[in-house]
Amino acid sequence: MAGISKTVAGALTIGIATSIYLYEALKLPFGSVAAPGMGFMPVLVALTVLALCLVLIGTEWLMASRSIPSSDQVKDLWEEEEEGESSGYQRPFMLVLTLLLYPWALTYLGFILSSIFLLYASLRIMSYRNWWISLAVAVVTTILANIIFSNWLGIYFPKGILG
Amino acid sequence: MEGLLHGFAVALTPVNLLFAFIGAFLGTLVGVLPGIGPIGSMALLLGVTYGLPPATALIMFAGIYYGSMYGGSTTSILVNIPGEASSVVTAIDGYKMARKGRAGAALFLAAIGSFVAGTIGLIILTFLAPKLAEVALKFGPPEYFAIAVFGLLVLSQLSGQGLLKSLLMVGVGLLLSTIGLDIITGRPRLTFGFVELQKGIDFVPMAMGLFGIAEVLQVAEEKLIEKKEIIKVKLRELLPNRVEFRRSLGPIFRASFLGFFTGLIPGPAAVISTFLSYTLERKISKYQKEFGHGAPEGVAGPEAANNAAAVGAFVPLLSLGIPFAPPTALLLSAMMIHGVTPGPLLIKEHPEIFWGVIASMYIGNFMLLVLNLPMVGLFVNVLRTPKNLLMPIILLLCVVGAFAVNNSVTDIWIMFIAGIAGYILRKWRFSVAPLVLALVIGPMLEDSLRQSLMLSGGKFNVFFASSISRSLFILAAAIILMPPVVKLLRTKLRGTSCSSM
Repeated sequence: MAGISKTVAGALTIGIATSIYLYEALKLPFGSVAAPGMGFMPVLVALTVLALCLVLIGTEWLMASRSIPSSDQVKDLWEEEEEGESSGYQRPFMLVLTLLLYPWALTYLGFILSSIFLLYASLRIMSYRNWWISLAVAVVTTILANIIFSNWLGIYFPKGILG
Repeated sequence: MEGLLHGFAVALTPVNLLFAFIGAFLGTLVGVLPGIGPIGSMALLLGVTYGLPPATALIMFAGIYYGSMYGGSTTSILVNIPGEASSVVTAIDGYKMARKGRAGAALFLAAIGSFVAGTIGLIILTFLAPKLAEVALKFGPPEYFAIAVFGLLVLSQLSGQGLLKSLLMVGVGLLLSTIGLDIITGRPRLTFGFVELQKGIDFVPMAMGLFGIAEVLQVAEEKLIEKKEIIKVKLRELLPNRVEFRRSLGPIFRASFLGFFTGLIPGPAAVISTFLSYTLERKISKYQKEFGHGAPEGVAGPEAANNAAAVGAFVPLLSLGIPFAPPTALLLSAMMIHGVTPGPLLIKEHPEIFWGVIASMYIGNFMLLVLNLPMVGLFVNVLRTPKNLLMPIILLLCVVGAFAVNNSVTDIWIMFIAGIAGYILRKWRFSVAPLVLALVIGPMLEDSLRQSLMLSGGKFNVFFASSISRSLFILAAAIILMPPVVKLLRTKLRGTSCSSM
C-alpha cells in the first residue's frame, strides 16, 4: 500500500464493503418517506457511508498535497495503552489462521480437543516457554475451563468425537 | 428515599453482597491488567450469568465497571503503565510521586478521591435519574431519534480520531445493526444467504472481537519486553501527610462534579473527565510548577473525575435506556438478556433493579476502598503474569463468553471476524468504540425514525416539533460546528494580527 495512507486504505475498504451492502439493500422495498420500508434506513445509511468515504479520501489527498500531517497520527481516546514495538506480522497472521480453524474444530472435535489445540497453538505462536510446558498449560487450562463453565455454570459445549 | 431504602434491602442480601464483592474484585483486577478491560470481562461473564436473578447479575456488572476505574490507577502509580485509558493522566504525577517514595500516599489519595467522587456521583444519580426518567416518560419517537442522533454525533466528535473517521465508524455500526429481522415487518433482510444472520449481529461477540481478540492479535505482533520495575508499597506508608491531604481535598470535590456531568456526555467521558480535571487543577493551583513532577492534585483530581464520570454514565442508561459508552452498552445487553427493558419505565416496572443497582454501588464503592488499599500488593503481582501466557487464556475465555450468549458457533465466527477487523482498523487508526455503540443504538434509531415519519405522514418537521428534540439537534450541531469555527476564527485573527504588524 505504498503511497496510500492508512486512512485512505481504510476508507477504500469500507467503501467497497458498503457498495456490496448497498447492492443488497437496493433489492429491499424502500417505501416512501410517509411509509418507510425495510430498505429505507439501510439505503440511506449506506449512501451516507459512501459519501463519508469519498470525503475522507478527498480530505486525505488534499492534506497530502498541502503537506499537512495525516489523521493517521491522531490518538484514539478509547485505546487502553500505547502499542509496543512491532515484531512483524508473522505471529498475528499465524494466530488468525488458528482462529479461523477453531470454529471448524469445535464443531467436529468438540470443546476440549479444539480448545487444547487453540491454547497450545497460541502459546507457541506467542513464544511461551517450551513446547511441553505450553502443552501442559493448554491441557490444564482447558480442563479447568470445562469444569467451571460446563459442569458448574451449565454451558453446553459441543462434545465432538469425545461425546 | 423510600426507593433507595428498598434498594438497600435488595443490595444487602448475602447473595447480592457476594456478587457486588465479586464484581468489584474482578473490576479491580481487569483495571490492573492492561489488555482486558471492563468491556471484555463484562462480555465474558454475560453468558454465564443466565442462572442469576437479574438484579444480582446487574449488581455484579456495575461492580466490574466502576471497579475497573479504581484498578487502573494502581499500575499507573506503581509501574507507569495505565491499566485503563482513564488512568493515563494519573500516571503523570502518580508515578513521579512513587519515584519520590510517596507511592503509598498517591495510592491512598487515588482511592479516597475515587471513593468520595463515587459517593458524590451516586448522591446526584439517586436524585437525578428518577427525575429524568419521569421526564422521559413523555418522550415519543422523535425525541428518542433526537437523543440517538445527538449521542452518536457527540460521540463522534469526542472520540479523538477526527470527526470524519468516527462518523464513518458510526455508519458502519448502523449498517451492521440493520442485518437480521426487520423491526417493523419481522422479515429477514441483508443476511447474504446466511440463515444464522437472521437473528442479527449480536453486540456481545462484536464487542469481544473488536476489543478482546484485536488486543490479543496486537500483543502477538509486539516484541516481548522485560517487565518494568514495580515499586513496593508497605501498609504503614499508605497515609499521605497533612499537606498532601489538604492539597487534594479541593481537587477531589471539584472533580466529583466535573466528572459526574462529563459522564452524562456520550463518548469516552471517563477519559475526557481526567484531562479536564488535570487541566483545571493545573490552571488554578498555587503549585503549578509541581505538576508533572509529583503533584498530589494531579493524582487525586483525575482519579476522582473518572469515578464520578463512570457513575454519571448510568444516568442515560437507567433513565432513558440509552447507553453512551461501550461498558454501559454491555449493561444494557445484560438487562435485555435477563428480560428487563431499560428505560423510563424501569423504575416503575423493576424498582428492585433500578434501586438495587444504585444501592449496591454505594456498598461497592465502600468495598473498593477497603479492598484496594490493603490488597495493592496482590493486584500489582498480577502484572507479573507474562503477557504471552495471559493472552492465550483471554482468547479461550473470549471463545467461552461468545459461545455462551446463544450457545452458537456462529457467534464465535462473528467474534473472530470482528477481532481481525478490529486489529486492522486499529492499524488504520480507526476507533472501534463508535462502531460498537452505533450497533447498539442502531435498532432504536431506525425504529424511532420510521415511527416518527409514519406518524407524521412523512413530514420531517416532526423532529423539530418538541423543544427537547429541537434543543438536542441545536446542541449537537453546536458541538460539531464549534471546533472548525473556532479554528477558522483563530486563523483569521492570526492573519489579521500578522498583517497589522
